[in-house]
Amino acid sequence: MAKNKLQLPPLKNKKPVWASLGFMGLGQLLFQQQYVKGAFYTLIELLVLINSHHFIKAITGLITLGDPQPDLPIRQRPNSIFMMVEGIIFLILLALFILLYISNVRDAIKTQRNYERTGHYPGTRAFMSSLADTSFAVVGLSPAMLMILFFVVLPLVFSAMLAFTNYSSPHHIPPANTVDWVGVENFQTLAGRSLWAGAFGRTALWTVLWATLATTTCYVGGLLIALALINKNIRFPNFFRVVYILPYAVPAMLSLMVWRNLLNGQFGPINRMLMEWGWISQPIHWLSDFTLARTSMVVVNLWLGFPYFMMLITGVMTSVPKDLYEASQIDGANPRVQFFKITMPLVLYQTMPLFIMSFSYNLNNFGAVYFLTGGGPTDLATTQSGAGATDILMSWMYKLTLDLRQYNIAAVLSILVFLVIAPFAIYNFSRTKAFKEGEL
Amino acid sequence: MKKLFSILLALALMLGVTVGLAAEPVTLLVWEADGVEGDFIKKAAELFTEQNPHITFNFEGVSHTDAVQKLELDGPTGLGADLYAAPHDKLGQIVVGQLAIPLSDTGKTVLDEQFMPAAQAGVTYDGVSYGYPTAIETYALFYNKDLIPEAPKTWDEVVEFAKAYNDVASNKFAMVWEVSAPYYNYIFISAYGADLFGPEGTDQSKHDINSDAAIKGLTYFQSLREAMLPVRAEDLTYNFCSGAFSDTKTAAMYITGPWSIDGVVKAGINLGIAPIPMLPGTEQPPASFSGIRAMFVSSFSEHPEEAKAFAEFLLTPEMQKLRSDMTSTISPNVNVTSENPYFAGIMEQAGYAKPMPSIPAMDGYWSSMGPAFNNIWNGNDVKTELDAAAQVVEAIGK
Repeated sequence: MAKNKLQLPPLKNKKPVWASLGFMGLGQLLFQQQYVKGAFYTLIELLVLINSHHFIKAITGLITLGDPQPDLPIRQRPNSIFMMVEGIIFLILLALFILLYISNVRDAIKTQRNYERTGHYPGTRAFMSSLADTSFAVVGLSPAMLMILFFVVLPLVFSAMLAFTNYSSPHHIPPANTVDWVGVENFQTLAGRSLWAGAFGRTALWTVLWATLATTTCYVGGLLIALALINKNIRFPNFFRVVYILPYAVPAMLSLMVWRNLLNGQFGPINRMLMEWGWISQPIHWLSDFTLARTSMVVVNLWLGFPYFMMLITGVMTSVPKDLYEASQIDGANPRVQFFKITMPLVLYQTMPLFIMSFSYNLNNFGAVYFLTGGGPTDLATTQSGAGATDILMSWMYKLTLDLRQYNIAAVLSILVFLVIAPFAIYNFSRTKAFKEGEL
Repeated sequence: MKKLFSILLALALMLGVTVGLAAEPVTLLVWEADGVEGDFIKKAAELFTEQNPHITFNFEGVSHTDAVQKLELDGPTGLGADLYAAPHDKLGQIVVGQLAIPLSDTGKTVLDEQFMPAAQAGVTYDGVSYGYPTAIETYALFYNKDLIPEAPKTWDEVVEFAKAYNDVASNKFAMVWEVSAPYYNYIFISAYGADLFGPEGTDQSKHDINSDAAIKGLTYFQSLREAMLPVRAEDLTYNFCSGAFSDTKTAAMYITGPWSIDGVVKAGINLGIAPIPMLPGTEQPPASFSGIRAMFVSSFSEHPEEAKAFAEFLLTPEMQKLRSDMTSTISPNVNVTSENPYFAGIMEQAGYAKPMPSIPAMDGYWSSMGPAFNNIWNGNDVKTELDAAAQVVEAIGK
């Protein structure tokens, strides 16, 4: 700031700036002959002022979340959850307004400075052309920004805020009862109930392990099959491609439920078959043993998920220029070296973002748990907390919200999941070459 | 002149009012489960519209177990149903959330005069009746008369029968049931006198979940695995229990409810239904959970009077009979008799049944006792598991 002051002389006439600071657009309108711009700013300020009672009501609502009014009929009672959403919407609008206000003051300063240097104000036409010119990015992106604000930021903020309320069954479910802010109490509850803390640790660990295993196995599996099928010695590669894509073509929910029956320890066809063949004498507890159930989950997920990476990697490999291989062959590279030095780097380079996407997806892969094992097998910690051996945080949250209707605790978990995933995803994304070089 | 004018005005007003009443079309949204229940409600709506042409209906397939939670979210936004079906054990949630309008006096009179006491109790909370019962159900012992001609009276007899009958290698078991379902296995809690949430089912502190009686019952439950059904709890899923009884016909007995009758009979089973066997040292079949299914009028409804009229229409013996026939369920209206030969056994068990408690603490029962039954069956310590479950139940609402 100090440096700026040295370079630029102070404004001789500060009136327009003060006017714009007092009322948006006033400086532009009264002193600077910026009629279109000034009218726009003024109109916005007028709109906000006219609706100020809405702003005040919504934001007060967000702070108080409504007082319990048990005497009113249910339809007329304050609904804390609606008040919360409304409050957030108006907070966003307020933030937009403040940003606009700042831009208005800066514009007044800029225009004034320009005037003092050149002696005239830009006309309406010049403003319009500058709008199309320099502000194009802002104007062009604003619809998308608004969409993001209301469809991404709003729900995120809302669910994060729930973690600091007591929105839970049975005494704090709107509209009959109100919800109140409770600070960090839910976090303390989660940490304090040692039973839950244990279940949380186990579930969080398994979530990360599961996502890593599920993604890597599918990726490596897809890579191996793609490699095999691109080999010239394989006959009818397209036939095999069609066969291998089939698991991906059937709805995952259905195939998971079929797998659940296939893997049933006592009645499942897989154990029956193995016993008929005399390979085993006792049933294998595919879904009722802790480690085995987890393994089954990863294996079934591999069956479900490898076709995606197979197709993806096949596509990438066919686009690798053939002359690279020819050149390397002339230089004496064997197929092994060719694979590790040419194929792998190129494939990894192009598929890494999708690999990471798949990892984040698996962290929240609710279906794989819910339809295959339902979270089981169980132990004492499950009785206490609901979280079974194969439950990931997402499916545990689902149980908490649906069975116990502890929306507040579920929100705490979702914040924790976010804290785990977000830095990881950002770190990975920002380090991925495809993303780095995608920058302009 | 003035007089004439006022008479004319009065006439015009009256005409306006009556025309308005008769012509104002009302559309009611009804939530009921898809399938036979939904078919019945559509049929009943048709008949009702014939009598009251200004009331028409929209139908949305919502499972009766989901309806209450859906209404909590959809009601305030105006998307909720005017009438919805729900099991009576959601009544606590309905009352606390004020999601239903109580019965009018006419409806209440019909309920008191024509309905079974269990059904009345099931839809009544603190003396106020909220629901219009459409069906009563409880589970019982289903047996395949071709495999076991006489239903065993006691679990000892079941175990005895199993010794001769079971063939683990070929999946032949005397009896199957979902051993980790808190719904069915309540019989082992109640058998020796543990009374979940007190006699009224409303006292959270008297949950009795880790009482001596419950521990005794569950210890016996645990011993059954060794004695007659050496299969892990995770593997005794609904699919395989019903499959073993109806499809492969390997299981001779199966604990399930009236909703299974249709499928079982269609599968060609020579079906008999009897009360649940008695546990050793007890004098009568253990209490099972009975469920009363009822229609509720949403408190968010824009047309509560029309909705109530339709709900009362559902209580008439004609509609109750139609529903009983269409859905193969038992009508709680005492004036309705069913020709269904299988209902006798279920009715007998219903005599020992306890309406599922409907207080919010039941959420804790459902969520903790599922894993607890599962673990106990698989061999965990009974007392430890029940203590843990009791802790969860006690924590609800605290």
